[in-house]
Amino acid sequence: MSGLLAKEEKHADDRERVEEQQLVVFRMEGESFGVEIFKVNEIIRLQQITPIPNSPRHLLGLVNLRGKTIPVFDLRCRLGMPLAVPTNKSRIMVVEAEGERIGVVVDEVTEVLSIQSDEREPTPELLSGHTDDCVTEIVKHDSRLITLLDLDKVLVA
Amino acid sequence: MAPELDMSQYTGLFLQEADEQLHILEQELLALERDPSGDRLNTIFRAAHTLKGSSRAMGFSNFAEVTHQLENMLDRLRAGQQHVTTAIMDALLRTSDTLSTLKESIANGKGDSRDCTKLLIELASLQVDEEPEQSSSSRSGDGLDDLTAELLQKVQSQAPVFHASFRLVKDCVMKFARAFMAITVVQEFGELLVSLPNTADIEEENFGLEFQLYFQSEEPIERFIKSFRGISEVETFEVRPFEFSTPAVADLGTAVGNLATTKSPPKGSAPVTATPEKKAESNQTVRVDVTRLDELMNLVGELVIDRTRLSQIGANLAAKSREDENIGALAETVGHIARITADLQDQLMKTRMLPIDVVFNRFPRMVRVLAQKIGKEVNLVIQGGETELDRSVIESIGDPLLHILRNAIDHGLEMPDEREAKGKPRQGTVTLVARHRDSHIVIEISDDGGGISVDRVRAKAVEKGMLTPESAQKLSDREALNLIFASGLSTASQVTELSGRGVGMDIVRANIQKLSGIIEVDSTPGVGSTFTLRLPLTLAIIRGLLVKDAESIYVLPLSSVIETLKVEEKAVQLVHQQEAIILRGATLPLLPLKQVLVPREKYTQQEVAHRYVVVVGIAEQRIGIVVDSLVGEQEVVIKSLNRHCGDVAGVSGATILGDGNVALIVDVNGVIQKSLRERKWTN
Repeated sequence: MSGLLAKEEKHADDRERVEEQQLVVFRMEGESFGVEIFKVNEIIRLQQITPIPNSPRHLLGLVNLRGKTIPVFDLRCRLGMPLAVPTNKSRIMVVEAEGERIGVVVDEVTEVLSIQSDEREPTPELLSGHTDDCVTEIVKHDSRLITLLDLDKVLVA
Repeated sequence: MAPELDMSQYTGLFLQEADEQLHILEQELLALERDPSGDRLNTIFRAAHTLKGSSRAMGFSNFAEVTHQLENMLDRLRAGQQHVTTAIMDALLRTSDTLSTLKESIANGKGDSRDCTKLLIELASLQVDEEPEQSSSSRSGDGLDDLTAELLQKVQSQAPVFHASFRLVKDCVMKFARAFMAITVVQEFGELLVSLPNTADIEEENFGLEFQLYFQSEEPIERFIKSFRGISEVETFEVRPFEFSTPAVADLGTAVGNLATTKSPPKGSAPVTATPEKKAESNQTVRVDVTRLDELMNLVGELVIDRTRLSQIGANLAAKSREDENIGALAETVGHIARITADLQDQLMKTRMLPIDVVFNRFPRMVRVLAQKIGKEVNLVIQGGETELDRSVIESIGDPLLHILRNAIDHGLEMPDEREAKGKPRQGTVTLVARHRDSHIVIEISDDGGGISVDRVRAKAVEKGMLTPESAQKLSDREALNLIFASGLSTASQVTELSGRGVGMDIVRANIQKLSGIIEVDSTPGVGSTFTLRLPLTLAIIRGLLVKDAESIYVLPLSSVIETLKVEEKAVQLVHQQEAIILRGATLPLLPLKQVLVPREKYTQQEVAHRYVVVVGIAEQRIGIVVDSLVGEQEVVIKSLNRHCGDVAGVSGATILGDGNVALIVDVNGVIQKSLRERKWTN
């Protein structure tokens, strides 16, 4: 933990401007993840997903979003987590990726959180795992740790 | 809004209008050759005039210049000063071409800077009087009496009249162009009344270094001075208000002495009766962006879904409390909404429809040029041009049709002498017919030429190594004929610039298939050939057969479904380890849909006594797709798959069903191809 703190101080030194940012925070497998709010279009309840045969595993299928069909991806699959059983807290987060709307399934959306940009810091090396290409930063807010997801990278898979 | 944004918006509008007008121009010009009536000339003239006006407003001066020349030429034809000759026709058509090129160039953001001098000169040089023109001769000499008379005649409004005189520099090389620019300026802000010399002479550069313009405008004189200053190679110019002296009206003969030097400012009211300018006929149409229609279509699609849910909810409520009087009212309202939605969808579909004339109209011109080039005489007969189909189909059907037409003329029809020797009329006939059949459009292209020699197709296929001589002989004539759609096969003995390279018919077929269409050919040697295309009316909404397989609903486009069967399990036989049945004497290979669209979850097939088979066909191929059950028939709105889904083999798109769920649309052709490929590997 002391190493982490040292890193934070160092990081704080080269910070120039502090801005308030908002994150949509959701939980999966007991871990809190955050996505910048301007990337999120809307959050809808889990509905019937039509699977597409012959498509990659992390593509769950298509849903009807008010008359448009949008593909829904399984974030767990991408993050190397076991498949979840849908509950009534499961949600589809509709995000804009490369100009098109897509959905990602998350276990539970908990809140919209205002953070200061100086609360963001690079993922500590010791904590980085096989998903480090899409998790480059974490947020430390009121002694909570939130993993910041880069959705563009998540979906490039 | 930013000014540059505005401009681009107007450019779009201009291009749209130009498109429309150029289209009219070309159509009517082509018709003019056959029927040079005054009405037609008027229509053409109006088109040219509109083009001139809008291009000038947009500042495309080159475009405007060409249209202006065109207008002049047409004006002469209209006035009967000249008659339509082949040379004039050619020049007019070339002008229409040039304008199209310029329009393209503008559309591509390259402006209209193409050099059109040659064309302008040609047009101008064609404007020669057949008979001496009375009006110009009477205006020769000083001619001021007549000038006043003419001015009075032409003055149309209360706007002040101006007189401008120009003197060009001595070695001016483009006298016409300079004078023309001056006229352009005048016409931009006002109405040209008279020019000295007359416009025809100006165009032929039939004048010295000076010319004068009389015009009317509401604009201040400074505006003209400023604009005239921008014209190069003008040595001096003078603009001043021009006034009719009152006696001139009373007695035209005496009033003209100092007419040209009158310096008094224009009076507010010229002593003439104002005849309001004839307004262009009001148009009963509105231009709408297609994407907006698509959006509308989506909205209606949503409405349809909600309607279905609403009636479901109504039914649920009714089951719960039969007593409530509101239930009946709800059912009634839902029924009404259902009808309205259906009508709405119907009307919207119609809005997206265009007559196939839009495509057909391109052809007469092409045929004329082609026939001239290869020395054949062709009469193109077009029928059913009013047949309507969806924009999406219209857009992709032009090229395949064009290709077939070219083939028909280039290879189908014989040379005139040859035709005569065979006892046929010298002029060959190519017929293009469109008509509706069921929910399809059928287009036939037939020629009365030499027909396709089936034996030559066979021989060619063998020569190219596509078939062995034996298998070639085994093919029925019909099958052999359809070999022409295979790639690398052309029976034309000569490769011409236009066709005969063996690429073409295969691409035509591929394009037609992409539209879920079917193409077939029929031919009788010595009598001619007929190509028949069957296409869906729209690509946005299709009639689909809903089937259930592995717990999912799929949609099979009804256009490729031939029939559905319930097959006894014991009727299924194995051929090469592939399942097949015998259907009316023919072997029908079976293909379980699961085998192509593999479900993700393991799915265990229950033991069944019979299977549901959907017989589908693409061109000559027939295959039976086996599904778990048949659900029904329905119109579905096609949504393309999102880019993030990648390319999914066997799926052409998705749609939303009445219950709000998404169903995949099966790409029948893709399914067949995929299964063929996989079979080849396993064998």
